[in-house]
Amino acid sequence: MKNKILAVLLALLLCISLAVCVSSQDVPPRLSDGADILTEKDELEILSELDRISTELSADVVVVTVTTTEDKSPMEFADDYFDYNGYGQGSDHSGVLLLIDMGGREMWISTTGLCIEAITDLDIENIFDMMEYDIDNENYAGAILTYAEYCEFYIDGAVNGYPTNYFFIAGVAIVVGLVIALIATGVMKGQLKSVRSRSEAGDYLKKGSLNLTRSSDMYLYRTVTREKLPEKSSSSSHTSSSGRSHGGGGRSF
Amino acid sequence: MLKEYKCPCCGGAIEFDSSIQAMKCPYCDTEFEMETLLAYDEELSGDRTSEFNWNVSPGKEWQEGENGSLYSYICNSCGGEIVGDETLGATHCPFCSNPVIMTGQFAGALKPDIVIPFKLDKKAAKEALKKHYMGKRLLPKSFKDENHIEEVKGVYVPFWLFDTDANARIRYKATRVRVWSDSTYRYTETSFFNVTREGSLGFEGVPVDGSTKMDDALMESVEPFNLSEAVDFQTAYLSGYLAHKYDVDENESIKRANERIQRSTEEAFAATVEGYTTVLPEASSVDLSEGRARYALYPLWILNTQWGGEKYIFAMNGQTGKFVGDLPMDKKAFKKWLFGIWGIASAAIFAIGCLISLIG
Repeated sequence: MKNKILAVLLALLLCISLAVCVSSQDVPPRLSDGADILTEKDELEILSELDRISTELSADVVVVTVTTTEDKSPMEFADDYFDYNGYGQGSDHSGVLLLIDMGGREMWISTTGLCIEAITDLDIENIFDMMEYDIDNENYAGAILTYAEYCEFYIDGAVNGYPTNYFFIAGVAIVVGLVIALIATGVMKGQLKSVRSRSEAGDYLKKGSLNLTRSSDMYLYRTVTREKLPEKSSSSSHTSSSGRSHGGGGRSF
Repeated sequence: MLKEYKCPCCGGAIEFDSSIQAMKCPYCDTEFEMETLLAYDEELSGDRTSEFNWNVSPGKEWQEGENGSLYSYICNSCGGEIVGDETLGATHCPFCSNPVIMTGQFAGALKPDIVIPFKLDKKAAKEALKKHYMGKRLLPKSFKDENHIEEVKGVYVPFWLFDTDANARIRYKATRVRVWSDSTYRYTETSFFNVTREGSLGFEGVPVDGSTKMDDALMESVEPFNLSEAVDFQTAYLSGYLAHKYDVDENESIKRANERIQRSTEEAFAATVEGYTTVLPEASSVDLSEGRARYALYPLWILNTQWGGEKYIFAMNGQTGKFVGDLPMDKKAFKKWLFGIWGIASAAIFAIGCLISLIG
């Protein structure tokens, strides 16, 4: 009996230590260049940048390049790669992953947790736009650094508020201030002028003398025009095979 | 049978084919009901031009002995002719401040029908001038301080008063706009209407300045006078005051009265067109009938001054006390206020903007 208890206890201990081991186990590096499109030097530079941003913002910013996504779509591959490698910080596994598939020549950005809302669909399109030039010129390191830079901007903006643009505020203040000053001095100028000719004779209208003998309102025709509403920046999300929610978007190159 | 109709939308010609029930303009593709086109055509054919018919003969002939105590004075500088009784004595021209000389007994011209006697005196006019200077930040300080009103004169100014009934027919194109949206589009529906208003409107005592020596804009600025206080003209009312003889006759003055009556009629009619987003007059005719004109003297206090080589003239309605007269502007003060307010307002907005963005 005692042995049995001891065995159970040992098993339990093993489980706990394993669990601790797994949870404290370092996740794979935030950069994985499976397609080998980066030089050793670029890899080091990008990795240190990704690590710095990830630590500062409490959200993992990950990049993975592959030559094939096997039989998965880029979205499934990116979501699964993020989930099963244990990326993501906090209880909601916040993070963002960029997948570059050199075989299918497709890119995918997958967002998780806080990053789903921080990086909207439009933001993802914007990031791809910014990367496009470097991707077309096969400067993958440059494209990835651009991606990292924008992720930092959007996540930081969502968490800490976007940085105050003092030049913009000053510009608005100067223009609005001038309008106020022109109106105020215009009123003062107006006080000096009291001689104006009158083009109407409303003072001499006999009260109650208006007598309408005919009053007709006839409908003629109508026109209908339509214009497209501006699209709102939203974050569409889906559930991956692990059961977690992800946002994301992709583009071919 | 074919008849051409005017498209209410683009004005193009629509050939009316009685075999088709709904019509479509070949130029702008707008569709119409048959009845609409027929009724619209009828409205269009009712458009006329304005007619101003006056049959006026204001004023009366002087009775013998009535104008015996009146004297004419002519200003040698501006040519203005003024009228006063023997109490006036030597004086200065109320229009240009130069001395005037008596030329003899008053003769000719018509006798006014009515007069509004002075209700306010010279003191009131001087008080009003002081008030006129108050609260005006751009008024040069030296104008206030160095200002010497050279002469304050009570003047009866000749006015032609026009009474008439206006018969008008005004046609408008009006629109009603409805806006709604679904998830992808915003729709704007504009419905067009033909609105017609016909009717009449009465005017009484529309004044037109009958003196070229008096600036028309200055005279229109002291309006309105209250005609119900007017009395039949008696020479005695002129005692102690100047009177100006009309030098614009009633027929020349009618043009100005027509303009003002037409404008007011159009405004009064437009106010009856309600419930639309936009209202645009397309055709307007204002006919005047039952026209009558009277020759009246209205009381005005005229104040003259000079400053910086410029003449400034002020006028006060001798009945209501309304005081008018343009004042000079201190350009330095203007710049000071403009840049001062600009700076302070900009700084305040910048501070508020920064505060909001920090909190947000």
